[in-house]
Amino acid sequence: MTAALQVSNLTKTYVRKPWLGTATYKEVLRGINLTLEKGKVLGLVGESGCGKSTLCKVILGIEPITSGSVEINGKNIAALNKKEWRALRREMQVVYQDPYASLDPRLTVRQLVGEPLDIHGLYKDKSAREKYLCELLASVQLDSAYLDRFAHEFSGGQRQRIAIARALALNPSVLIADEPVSALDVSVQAQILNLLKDIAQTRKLSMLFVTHDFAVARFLCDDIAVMHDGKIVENAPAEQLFSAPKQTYTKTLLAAVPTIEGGKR
Amino acid sequence: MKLRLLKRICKSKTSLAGLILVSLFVLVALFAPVLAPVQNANNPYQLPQTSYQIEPQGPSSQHWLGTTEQQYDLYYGVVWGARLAFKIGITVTLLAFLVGLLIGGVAAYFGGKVDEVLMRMTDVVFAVPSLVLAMVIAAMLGPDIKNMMIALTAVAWPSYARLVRGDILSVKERGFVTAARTLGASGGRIFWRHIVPNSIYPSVVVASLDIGYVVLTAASLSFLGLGAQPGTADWGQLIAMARNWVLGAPGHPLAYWYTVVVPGGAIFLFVLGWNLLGDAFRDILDPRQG
Amino acid sequence: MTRYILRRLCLLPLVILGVTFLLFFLTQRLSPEMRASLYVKDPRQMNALEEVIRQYGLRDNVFKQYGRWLKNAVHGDLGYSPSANMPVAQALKQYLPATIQLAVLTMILVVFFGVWFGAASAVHKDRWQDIVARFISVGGFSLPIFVLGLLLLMVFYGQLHWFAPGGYSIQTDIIIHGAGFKTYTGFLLIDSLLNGQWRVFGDVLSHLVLPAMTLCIGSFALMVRVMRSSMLEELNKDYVRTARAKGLSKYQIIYKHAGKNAIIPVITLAGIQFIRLLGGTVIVETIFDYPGIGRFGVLAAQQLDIAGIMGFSFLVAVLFVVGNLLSDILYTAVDPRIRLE
Repeated sequence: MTAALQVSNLTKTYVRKPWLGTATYKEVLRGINLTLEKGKVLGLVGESGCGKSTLCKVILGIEPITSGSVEINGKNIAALNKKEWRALRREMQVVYQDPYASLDPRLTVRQLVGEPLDIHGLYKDKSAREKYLCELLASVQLDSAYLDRFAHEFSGGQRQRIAIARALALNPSVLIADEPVSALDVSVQAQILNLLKDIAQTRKLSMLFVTHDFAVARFLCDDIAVMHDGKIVENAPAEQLFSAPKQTYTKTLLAAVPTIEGGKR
Repeated sequence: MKLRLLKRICKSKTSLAGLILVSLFVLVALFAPVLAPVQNANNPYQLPQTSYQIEPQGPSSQHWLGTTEQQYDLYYGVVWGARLAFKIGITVTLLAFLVGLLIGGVAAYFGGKVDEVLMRMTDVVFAVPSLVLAMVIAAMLGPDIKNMMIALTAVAWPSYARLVRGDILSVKERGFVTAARTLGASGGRIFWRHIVPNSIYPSVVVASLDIGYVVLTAASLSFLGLGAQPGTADWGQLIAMARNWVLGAPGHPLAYWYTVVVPGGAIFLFVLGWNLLGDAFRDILDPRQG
Repeated sequence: MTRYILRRLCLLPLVILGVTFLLFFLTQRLSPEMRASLYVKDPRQMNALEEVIRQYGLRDNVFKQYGRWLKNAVHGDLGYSPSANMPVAQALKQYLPATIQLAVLTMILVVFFGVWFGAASAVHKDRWQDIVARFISVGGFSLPIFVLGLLLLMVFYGQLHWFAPGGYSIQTDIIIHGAGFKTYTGFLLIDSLLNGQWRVFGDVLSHLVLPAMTLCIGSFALMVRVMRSSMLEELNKDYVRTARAKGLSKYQIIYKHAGKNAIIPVITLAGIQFIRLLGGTVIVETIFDYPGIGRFGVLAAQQLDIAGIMGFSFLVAVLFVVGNLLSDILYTAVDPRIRLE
């Protein structure tokens, strides 16, 4: 069985060539190996600056690969042409960290959630689309009366629900969640996490969940990969990682986590 | 949104004065044929001339605001000059903005070498004061209103190109553009649906407020004899004709004051109106300044 | 910072080449016959225009002609200007000091009165001084300098006979072109003093008053505005309140403390405005028939004197580009918060 997402020996180097002087190189990803099994949730945990955002960008095709490979549902993304990339977008979608930035402030909810449908030419029939949009909003627990409101009229949590609805519109099998709750109030973080967990289960989504927060990862993930300085330092099933971390780096990180369940570690 | 803007303008006395002045000129320009019936149907901007007598005549029942050199009617000149001012101001601003949008947009969209070359082109135009460059270009093309507008457009586009480029570059970095890309949107769709609406609307406002400045520069060119020709209902040109009369008549040094004050007052009020309005808009668009 | 300046210095000649080529390209719109007529010094030559065209290579392609112009320009030969009736280089050398003199005097007026009005406006906020200053700062932007210039001429020359147009009077002309008058710098204000000619100095200065008053209007309005807001900002700062609490009088605070800090943005602005004045001199010098490069440029443009136009634009571009670079550097030097990239 092919994995939903297979990252092998992935490296990413940024080259900066100034107008005068010599080029400087910065190695951001250094031989990443990751496997996201179908229907599972893989947590990618690391401190800010460890390269997890870059990894997301590479997987999403926003940044080119320096070496190594990324396969999504068995397709090597480096080998795709424009048309195949467009087709792949329907299988893989993403929820970004900042719902204030990721939604165009000039569009209504109808336009925002409907945009992927426009792009891929789906649900052209007006009433069918209307019904589908209402279903999507219902699945993220938003009232369909909101369809004609602008994104800027909503709170952070509601915006993130809109972003999730947009990501689900194409009915993808893989979802990349790039720190989806870290920009939100603590009070709404839990709601969004619950929503993502429900959606992943009911839709049988394979999800790469990126976070800097072990508590969040533990709540949501089946497996956890710990990233440090462009490398995966430890990769294990969630419970195993929490009960018996092997690497010192993981231990240090875990020691810094304030526990919710009183000393159980 | 628009109502709120209007309310804010009305709240400050100076911006309200600006709004009233500009509206007044709009009305004069719109109703020019009613206010001053056309004398020469082929060219309404041709000033009517009652005689070829050289000396200007003061305000009278026949010429409400007097006549300037060679009996050109100043009232007609002010009224149709308003229409010509809008024609020049709007045409030049629009053309310059479109050129700026195109070049700034291309520079920002492609970046790299293309950006570098186009931006150095704006440097070249910026390297000479705009009035001086416009003056030289207008002289080369030959003095008439059309060539003057070309010259003004040629010196005005780079500032819009830079403005649009900066706006687009900052919007390009925003999350929703990346988001649209991961949805599979094409480059054109991202540009027209997300980048352009979010970047150029503020620039459009800024550009439209430059109409006063464009008209001022146009009047300067006409004043130097490199724009509208004598006999045209153009404010700058009317003031140029007044140059010969500033010393007055023997014993009456200020005898011909109206030849300067009438067209000069028109252009002053016009530019003042736009400047006041411009200040108000800049405060609203960028609350950090002012 | 150093890298930024280096980069700008490298681009500088490119920009000047760009400007001159652009204008040279435009001159090619005129027919070779029209351009040839500029080289005609004897009416009999008019019948042999073709020969003139061949002699000066006026039908060559634009790059070749531009190359020739540039080669000569580098050697200091900018051609002959029929509108000024002398070689372009000589005309520029003769007219530039007069324009600089005018610009410097204008800047002195702008800074002195701008600071004064702006500070008074801030100190007496919302009182009549403030209202007058704000009215000037808005109106000054909108009053075209050619309207102001004509009004001033009407009142101060036509009515009051205080000042006259031109660069100097006939008596001065006789003196400065006489045998006893030595030219040291080309700046008449300085040379007259060095020659001990007080009357010449006074005469030249009096001819500068109206042009300078006219030219200063736009920059003056801006200066009042900047000084006012800068002063208001200073007066609201904690140290001013502390000084007041210490018992310092209001004027001591304003002139010793707040004024000193508030003036920084004004000085940098003055540097930038000095360059901007160049555009305005074109109109002012024309109105007042003042013998500077602005008037030279306008006459050349009006008479399609290509050598004159090219020389004038070349000089203006050099002054403008170098001046802008200097004022940018000055700007960062004075205000460390600004970073150039």
